[in-house]
Amino acid sequence: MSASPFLSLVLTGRNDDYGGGFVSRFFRVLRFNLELLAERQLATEVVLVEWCPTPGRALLAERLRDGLPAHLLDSVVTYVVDGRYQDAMSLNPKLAYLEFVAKNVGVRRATGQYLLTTNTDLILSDAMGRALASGALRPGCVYRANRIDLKLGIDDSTLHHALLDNPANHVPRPPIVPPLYAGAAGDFILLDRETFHKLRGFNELYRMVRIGVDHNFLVKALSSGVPISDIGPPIYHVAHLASYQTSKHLEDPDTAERRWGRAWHNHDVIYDNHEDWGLRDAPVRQLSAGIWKLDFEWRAVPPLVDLHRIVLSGMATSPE
Amino acid sequence: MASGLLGLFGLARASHLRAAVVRANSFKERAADAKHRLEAAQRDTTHWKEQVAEARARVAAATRDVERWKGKDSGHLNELATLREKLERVKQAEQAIALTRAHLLAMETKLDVLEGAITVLDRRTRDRLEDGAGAPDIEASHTTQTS
Repeated sequence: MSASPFLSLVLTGRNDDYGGGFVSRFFRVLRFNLELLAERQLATEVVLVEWCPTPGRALLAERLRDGLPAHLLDSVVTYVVDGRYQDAMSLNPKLAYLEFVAKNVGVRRATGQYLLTTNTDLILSDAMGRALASGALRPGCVYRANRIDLKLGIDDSTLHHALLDNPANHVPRPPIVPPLYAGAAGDFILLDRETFHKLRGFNELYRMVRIGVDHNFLVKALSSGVPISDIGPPIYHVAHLASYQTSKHLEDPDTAERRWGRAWHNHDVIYDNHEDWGLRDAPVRQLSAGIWKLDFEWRAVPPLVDLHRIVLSGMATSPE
Repeated sequence: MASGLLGLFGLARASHLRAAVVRANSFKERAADAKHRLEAAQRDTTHWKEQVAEARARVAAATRDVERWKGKDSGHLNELATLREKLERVKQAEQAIALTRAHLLAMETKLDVLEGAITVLDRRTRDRLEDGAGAPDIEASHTTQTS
């Protein structure tokens, strides 16, 4: 694989059957996306961060070896993060997954010119492939995309563009609008690597939630003078029972907090991560081809509290 | 000669007398005419005096009105200046409120973090005490997954 691919897909997940049928859904989506990007001759790497693997289960990275053709597997590098980082870093014992700290691990280590932080159930549209290959991307700009939710229950066992592009299979969502183009931002944040690093990734100071950290990144970017733009084509989201949109009104409060955390002031208050964001100082060793392990060391763990790095965005907001 | 003789007796020629009568009548008419003109001029004078008086009264009234409106405008200008000052103060107050609100949100966020840290430390302490003062157990046990 090239030392510096054009695009890095930064994903996080683990083998815990999240939402039911997680592994097969993930592999199906990943294969579809990689083949689409290969058709467009875009040099791509996948940076999969396997955050705190479930004890007693095979690594997702290991299962990936069986689930992906060899020519696609070559483009995947997995960072398996020691499970102790979750408890060492979390400020909310109920929260089970520090998704955006995990993504920062990937952002920190991705080598692509452009980094697309996305999720394991997000499918690139054909038009998106064309847009990525068009040469129109510019550094220093956050690109966002409208997400189209596919109806729960449609036969997505074989993904193809006719299925995805058919409006009859879509669930309407409000479009993203300036200036932030927010709305399911965690599903598609595309930015050149250098600017992503200048912004120091997602918020690592407010380690209490999963919801809103993506929106918070957009506020941080805009208040740092980085413009945000709608790339144009949509992405597709495979609905499943654990999707936030599907289950946010159904779960009991405790389960909801365990999955996503509580609402917070993510529209107004931003962050200034430490320079060692993304577990920079975690020792890394290779487990096997394409699979790396971040071992636990306290020196890699940021302090529990660093209040002076929690700052105002300086952007005008309206009372909620 | 004849005129001279008639003059000696206090008499005049009839022609002279008729001419004098004509002249006298002419003078009378001119006098009457002058009298009429004088009366007309007096009437005009009286009329113009009235007009002047009326105009003066109007000017005086207008002057009073001007003074009154000047007073009113001055009041309005003062009122406008006061309103502008109040508006400026409202804007400053709004800015102060927005800034205060932002600081409040930042403080709440920091308190969230502090509360989270205290909760985590409390949990670690309890775990350690329950484990007989051993090292805090931070082994993860997770069941959910990102999407």
